[in-house]
Amino acid sequence: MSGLRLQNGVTVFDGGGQIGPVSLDIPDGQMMALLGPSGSGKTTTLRMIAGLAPLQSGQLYFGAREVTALSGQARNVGMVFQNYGLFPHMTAEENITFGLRMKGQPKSEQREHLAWILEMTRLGGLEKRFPKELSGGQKQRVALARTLITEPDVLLLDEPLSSLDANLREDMALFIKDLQREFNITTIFVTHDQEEAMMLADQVTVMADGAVLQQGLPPEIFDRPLSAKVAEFMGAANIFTGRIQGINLQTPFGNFEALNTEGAEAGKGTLWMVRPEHIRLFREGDKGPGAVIKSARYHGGFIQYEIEAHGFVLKTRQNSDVSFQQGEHVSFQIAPQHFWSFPEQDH
Amino acid sequence: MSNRLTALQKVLLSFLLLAFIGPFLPLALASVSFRWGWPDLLPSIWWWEKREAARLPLAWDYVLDPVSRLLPALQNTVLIAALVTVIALVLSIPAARILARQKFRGKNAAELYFALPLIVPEIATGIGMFLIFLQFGVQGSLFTVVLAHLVPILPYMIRMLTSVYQELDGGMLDQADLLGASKMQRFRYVELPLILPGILAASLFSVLISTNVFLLTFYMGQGQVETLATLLFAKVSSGGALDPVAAAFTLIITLPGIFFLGLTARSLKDDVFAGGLDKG
Repeated sequence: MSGLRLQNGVTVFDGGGQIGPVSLDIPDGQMMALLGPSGSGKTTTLRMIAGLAPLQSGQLYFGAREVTALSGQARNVGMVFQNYGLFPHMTAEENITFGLRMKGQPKSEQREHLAWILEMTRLGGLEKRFPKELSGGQKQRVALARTLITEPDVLLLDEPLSSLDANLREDMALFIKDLQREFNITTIFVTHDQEEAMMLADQVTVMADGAVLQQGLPPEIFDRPLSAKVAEFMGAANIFTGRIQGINLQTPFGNFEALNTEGAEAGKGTLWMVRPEHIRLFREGDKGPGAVIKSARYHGGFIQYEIEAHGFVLKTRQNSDVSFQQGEHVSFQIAPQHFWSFPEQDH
Repeated sequence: MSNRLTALQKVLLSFLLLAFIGPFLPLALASVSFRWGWPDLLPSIWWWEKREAARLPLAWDYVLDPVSRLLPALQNTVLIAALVTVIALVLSIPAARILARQKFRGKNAAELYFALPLIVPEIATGIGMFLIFLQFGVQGSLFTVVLAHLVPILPYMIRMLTSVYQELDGGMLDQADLLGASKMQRFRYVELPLILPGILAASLFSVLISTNVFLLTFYMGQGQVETLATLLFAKVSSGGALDPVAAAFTLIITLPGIFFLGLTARSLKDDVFAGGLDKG
């Protein structure tokens, strides 16, 4: 087992585009989510680490071992493809033992390993089935077992949950997380779903247009995004231009007291954000600036309201115990610490 | 979805079946006839009515008699078809692999180039090859016939296998690499089983073309290499219409194809395919 360090990795893909330079740093045994919209270069970065896309420049280390010039095979890396890539002409068992058979491991050891991995991945009883006779979740587990049985140093998962039904996703996410902890294997998984990334990952790297925007712990990425781009990708943040004037923050929807002014320069308009769950609504009209409810959408545990204040529309999220009607006049509050000024202002 | 056919579908299916079987019926009848002249719907004299009286073997008696040289012709046909198919596969698989999976300059030109033999008439190819072989003094052998058969077969073979390779999921091969398979193991345990249905289909085409090629066989074989096709051609061109022997030969010439079709159909069945191949 070992950590992973990619320094300024650059690769090119078929259409002539370039990905990178990408730098990643994952401590031993941790799980990192590579998060980004489709076309952001996440999968290509994964392929670069797997040795399937050649590194044009940069260095790749697994622990202290430099693997830049090695083939994927020699790097000792395991990858599970988005469509699982199971061999259709082999049973689950033959698929799982493929790597051992190719290495010419003695049959008795193969059987031992197989029994152990079948238990770990809860696949007992399905050994003799062909891939077409397995459900999506079972295929995923066979693909994981097939890779983990070869004991790779680094595990790469390409969109591990995207082909599963919504009700299976959470189960599979927890299953993968448990498995990853039990093996204590350094893991990178690619996803376009920020909730998936938050749920599974120890660390999150946000990518867009072939470059890394931010790497950090999930709460950091969520609460203190470096740029508006990251904030937009992390969910429905309200982004606006604000101006510090004395102790006040002037915004299109009123004047507020604000903290977190690091990115801002006094008197100059800069980009800020406030998250929907940090805006509190009141039925009474005198608790803060006034606004009108534009729309209400019920989401189960909470209600999402769009409110309009001074012609500016804000997204808010409220507990469902108090409900407001469309067109109702309300007042709202935002605590000073919930304003966030982006350290990187390019938008 | 219902598994029952509607009345219209049944009628259409019957027509289709008739269209496929249709040509075989008069052949089968003619092969057991002695006289079948216009405008009779059925032969006026059957083979077995004259069988005892005739001094020479008739119809199927002739065909199955050593004098017809059927057996050596059948042997040659099968041997040539098998050799041609194996050589064509050995040449086409690497070519198709590259054409389907790599991008390189002049790829379109290469694809067109491989299709050229289909555009040149067989007779031109045949005469040209004959003249060349004549200079080297190697005309009239089984080997030259095999070489000649490759000309119309290779374009089809390369084309079919290229599309087979295009369908193949490249991720599967990457996966085999990452799991530690060597290049040979990857080919043997992953690539080959996955393209096997395509190889069988291409082989079937190759066998069918090879058994039916007359002109090239005739030129290259110099009358020394007899196949079912040359035997049939001799019968058809010398006798009247629907000579019983020619009809019988025509039926026999379809046998290698039908035999191979039956063979491949069995292997292509899903369960055989899935279960029977990789026991390595």
